[in-house]
Amino acid sequence: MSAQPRTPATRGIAFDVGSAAAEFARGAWELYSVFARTLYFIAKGKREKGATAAQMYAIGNKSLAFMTITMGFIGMIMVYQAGLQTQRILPDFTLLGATFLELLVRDLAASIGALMLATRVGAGIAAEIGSMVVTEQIDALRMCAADPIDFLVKPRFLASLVMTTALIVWAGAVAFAAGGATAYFAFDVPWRTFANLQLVDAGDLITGLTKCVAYGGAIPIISAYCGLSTFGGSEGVGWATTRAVVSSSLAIIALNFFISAAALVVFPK
Amino acid sequence: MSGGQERSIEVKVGVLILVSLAILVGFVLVMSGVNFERKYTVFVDFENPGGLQTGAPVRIAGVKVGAVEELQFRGGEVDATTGRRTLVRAKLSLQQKVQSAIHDDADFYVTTQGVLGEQFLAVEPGTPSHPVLDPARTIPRGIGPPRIDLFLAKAYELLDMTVTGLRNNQDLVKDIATNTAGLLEGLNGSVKDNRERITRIMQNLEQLSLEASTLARDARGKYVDNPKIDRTIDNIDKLTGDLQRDSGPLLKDAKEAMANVNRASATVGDAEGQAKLKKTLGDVSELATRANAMAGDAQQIVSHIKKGNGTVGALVMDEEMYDDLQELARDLKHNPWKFFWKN
Repeated sequence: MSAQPRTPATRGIAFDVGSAAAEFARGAWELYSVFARTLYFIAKGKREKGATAAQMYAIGNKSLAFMTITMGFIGMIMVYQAGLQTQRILPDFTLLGATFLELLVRDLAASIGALMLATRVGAGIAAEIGSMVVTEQIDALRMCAADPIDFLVKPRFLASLVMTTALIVWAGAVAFAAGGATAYFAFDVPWRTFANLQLVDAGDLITGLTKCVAYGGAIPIISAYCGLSTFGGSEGVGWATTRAVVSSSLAIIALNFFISAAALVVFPK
Repeated sequence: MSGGQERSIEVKVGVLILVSLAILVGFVLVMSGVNFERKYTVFVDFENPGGLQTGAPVRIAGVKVGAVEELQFRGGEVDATTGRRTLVRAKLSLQQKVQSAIHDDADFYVTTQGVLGEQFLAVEPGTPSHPVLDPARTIPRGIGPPRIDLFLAKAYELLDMTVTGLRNNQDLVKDIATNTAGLLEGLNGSVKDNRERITRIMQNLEQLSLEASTLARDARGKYVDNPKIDRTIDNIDKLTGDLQRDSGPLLKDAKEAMANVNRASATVGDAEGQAKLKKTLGDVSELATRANAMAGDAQQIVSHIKKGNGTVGALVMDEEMYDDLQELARDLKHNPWKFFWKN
């Protein structure tokens, strides 16, 4: 998969808009193609023993420390800032924990956690596959009748689906615990008051888990597509990595918007 | 990748997945309020339960004892159990252990946690002297939350009326404002012109208040804190105590006396009795006259005696005779033989 050469023509706004739209449509189609083929190979592909477990370890366990630290700090910062605003306006901290937990479960744990994962996992996938493209290992795979989607993307996709969800659940718990400690030390809010689940309902939990699965699927697919569409040398790999992180982050934010809107319709507040 | 290393990776991955799964399951269990305590159901009718939602907690004195299980819209039908029109009926699931604490005069009201918190149902358990609420027979009427929306609507209406009234009566308002301004101006001038007199009046008032204070203090010393007053009050207290104690017997005696008088009056009530009484009184009067005369005679005799007239008078009043008699008695005492023999 390489970029199509641009045909020389009379340049103008219409040409630029049309060219961008065509490129976007082609990219979207190729992305969809990667996704569809991944689903196809999950159902019909070869099962390579240990490949998915290895990817789960690489995506999940190796990201554990990174996720714990970042989400712990994010939990502390968010509760501290929210507590300062609460102190200024209300000042009643009774529902500080309950509100934070609702936001965390419905949105923030999944979205911020996925953004963190996109920087680490997405970049890793894009760089790995991109390097294989520029070193013609992908072509070698094709020559051996091994589809790179089946061989490379499918295990990463499956591993990411499971481990993104697991990591986000863990990271959410860490963020809440860190937030509780901040609330206790900064605003004297007891843990029993902070750990208030009354604002969280099944709709929030289902929305949060849906986002986990959606982000877990989107990151490897987008990153793999960016890796597979690498061209040039090591500079191309760099660009592929950057594109993977940016595109994954954009996809996470766009998915967040659509899933939140759908949740608002399905689980009205 | 060797077999051992592969197994090690799988174990690590499995541990992470299991930990996350445990967190998720634990969270779901805590969130859904899973506990194995026995529950019972109470229905409460509301006119308007406000923002109360299904699943909202039910609290007694801030402690969660159950949840709102269902909110049924009854549409104002007359209920056969209560005989009243019901718009909304809430089905509450409460812990069995609190049943004995909720009496049939308990209040169920919708309130809010914190300033902007979610609404919940609070229960004031009622007075212990009342019987325990029997949910099968009694469906209490709940108290809805304060209607801020209604208040705002009314306030808006009032404000609108005020603004319209002011707008339609601008001339009148202007006149009132002008007159008020003139009045204030006149008042201000008057105050300025009579500043000295006002100051004097104020000084007099101050002096008066000082004197009144002194007077009150003196009066207190004289009439309130005076020990005499205390003693007098004690005496009155004692007297009234005695009166209270003795009034019973006194009253009894008085009653007896009155009974006697009644009996006497009954005795002399008829004409014959009155005639007898009149005759007796005449006899008594005559007897008294005679006694009086006798007393006069006796007085006369005594005065004769006092004067020393007659034998008894001489005997009593003449000292010489008394001395002679005394000497005679002494002589007879020493010489008793003189009774029988004269020398």
